[in-house]
Amino acid sequence: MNLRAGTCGALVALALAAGGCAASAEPAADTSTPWSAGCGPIEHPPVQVAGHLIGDADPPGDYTSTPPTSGWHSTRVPAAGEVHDDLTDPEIVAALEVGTVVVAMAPDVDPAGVDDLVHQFPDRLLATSYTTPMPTPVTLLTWGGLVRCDELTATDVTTFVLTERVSPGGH
Amino acid sequence: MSAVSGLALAACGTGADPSEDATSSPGTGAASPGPTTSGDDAQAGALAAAGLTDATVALAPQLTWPELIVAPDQYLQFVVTDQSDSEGGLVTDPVQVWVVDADATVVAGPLTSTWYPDDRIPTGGLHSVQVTPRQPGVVDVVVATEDGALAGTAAVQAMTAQDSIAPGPGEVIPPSDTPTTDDPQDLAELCTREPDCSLHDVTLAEALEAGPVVLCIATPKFCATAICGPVLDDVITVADSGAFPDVTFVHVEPYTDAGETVTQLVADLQLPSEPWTFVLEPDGTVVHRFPGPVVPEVLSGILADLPVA
Repeated sequence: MNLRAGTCGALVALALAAGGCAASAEPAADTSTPWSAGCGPIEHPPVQVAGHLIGDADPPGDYTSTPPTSGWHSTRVPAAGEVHDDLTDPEIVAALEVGTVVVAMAPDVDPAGVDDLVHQFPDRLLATSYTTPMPTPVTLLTWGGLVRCDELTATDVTTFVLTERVSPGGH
Repeated sequence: MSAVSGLALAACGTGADPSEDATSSPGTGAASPGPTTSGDDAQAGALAAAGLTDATVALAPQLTWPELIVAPDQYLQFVVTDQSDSEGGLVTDPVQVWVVDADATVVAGPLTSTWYPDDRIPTGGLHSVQVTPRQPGVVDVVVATEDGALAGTAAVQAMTAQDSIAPGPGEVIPPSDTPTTDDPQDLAELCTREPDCSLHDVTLAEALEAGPVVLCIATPKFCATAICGPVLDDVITVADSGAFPDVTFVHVEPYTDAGETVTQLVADLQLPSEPWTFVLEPDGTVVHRFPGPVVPEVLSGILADLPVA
C-alpha cells in the first residue's frame, strides 16, 4: 500500500483536529520544517546489527540511544494501534523492526489523546510509557531514527509517521 | 569514502530530506547517547596508539556481538556509521582496523576490513576482519577511513571462551540427539523455513560421528527480521555449494513452539539469543562461532581451513 495515499485521510483528520492549517487532499509537500518548536531534528543513532533475545535474556550490549532505534529485540512483537505500559527496550526494537513507529512517553507526560492518535494508525503506530530517563519527555522512534520533543502533539506524531517511518524487514 | 543512508536502504516514507531537518528544525535537538566506548580518555588513548591523533572522531563502529574471544584469528563483524553525515550514513568502503588494549598497546592492526554487501539486511552489508586478541579485558576496536581523516572506537570485552555467554572456540558442544525428519521429537515445526530446509536428516550426534559440522540454530519464522532472517539461508548457500562434502550441516530450531519454549539444545547451551552458527570439529570442539549474521564467504573460508580427517 502506498503510505502517502493510504494515510492521507488520517493526516487530514488529525491536522484539522489539532487546529492546524487548512488541509488539502495531499499531505504538505514542504517538509523542511516538519516539527513543532518543541521538537529537535531527526537523529540517526549508530545502527546496531543484533539478534533476537531468547526469553527474558538481557541484551548483551548497550543500545546506541535511549530509547533504542535498532539492536537487540524480543520474540514478542507489541501490537500496533495500542497504548502499552512500560515496554522494554527489546520490545520497542521488535516493534520498530516490523515498521511500527513508537511514541515513548515519560511517566509524567499527559497521555490525553494518545489513544485516539494510535487508533488513527492502527497498523503502524503504538505508544508506551517509558521509565528510563530520556533527554526530553517524549521521543518519536522509527527504526534507525528518532525525534525528541518536549511535549506530545498530534501534528508531530502524524508528520513523523508519514515522513520518517522505516520498515527494515518483517519479524 | 562512500556512504549510504541507512534510511534510504529501507525507507518507505514520503521522501523527506533528513539533512534539511537537521539544519532547519527548531527544538531542543538533544543528542542521543553515543556508541559504547570505554570512556573519552581511553578513546583518545586508543586513537593515539593507532596514530590517529589528527583524525576527526566521527565514526561509530557497532559490532554484531560485544565479546571478543581470546583466541587466534577471530572474526570481527561490524557496521560503521559516519556521525558527521546528518543522515547517519553507513560506511561501505573498507576501513582500517586496530585493536588496542587498555594500556594503549596496539594488539592488532592496521588491518583492512572487507565489506560484504548484502541488500537483504538494512545496513546493506557487513564489515569483517580477523584479529587475534592478546589477553582478557576491555579493548578498543579502532576504525578509520583509509585516508585516516575520520575515525572512531568501540569498546569490546575480550575474554576467554570459558567466560563467554555462549560456547566459544576450544570449548566442546557435546553430541546430542537433535530433532530430525524421522524423529521431530516435540517440535511443533521441525523447520520454520518455507520451504523446509534439507538440514534435518541427521542428529547432531550422528553428524559429528561423520566429521566436521556446521550447526545453525535459527528460527526463520519467529525471528524473520531482515537481520536474523537470512542466516539460515546463508548457511544453506554454503551447504549447497558442494565445496565441503566432508562437512555435515545441521539446522536446529531454537523453539519447540511459537517462540515460547526453547529446545533442549538451546537450554543445554544456555544461549541468550538467536541465531547462532557454530563450526565444530568431529569431537564437538568449537572452531568458530557466528553470533548473528553469517557471511557465506567467511564461513566458506573457515571450512576450507579445517584439517581434513
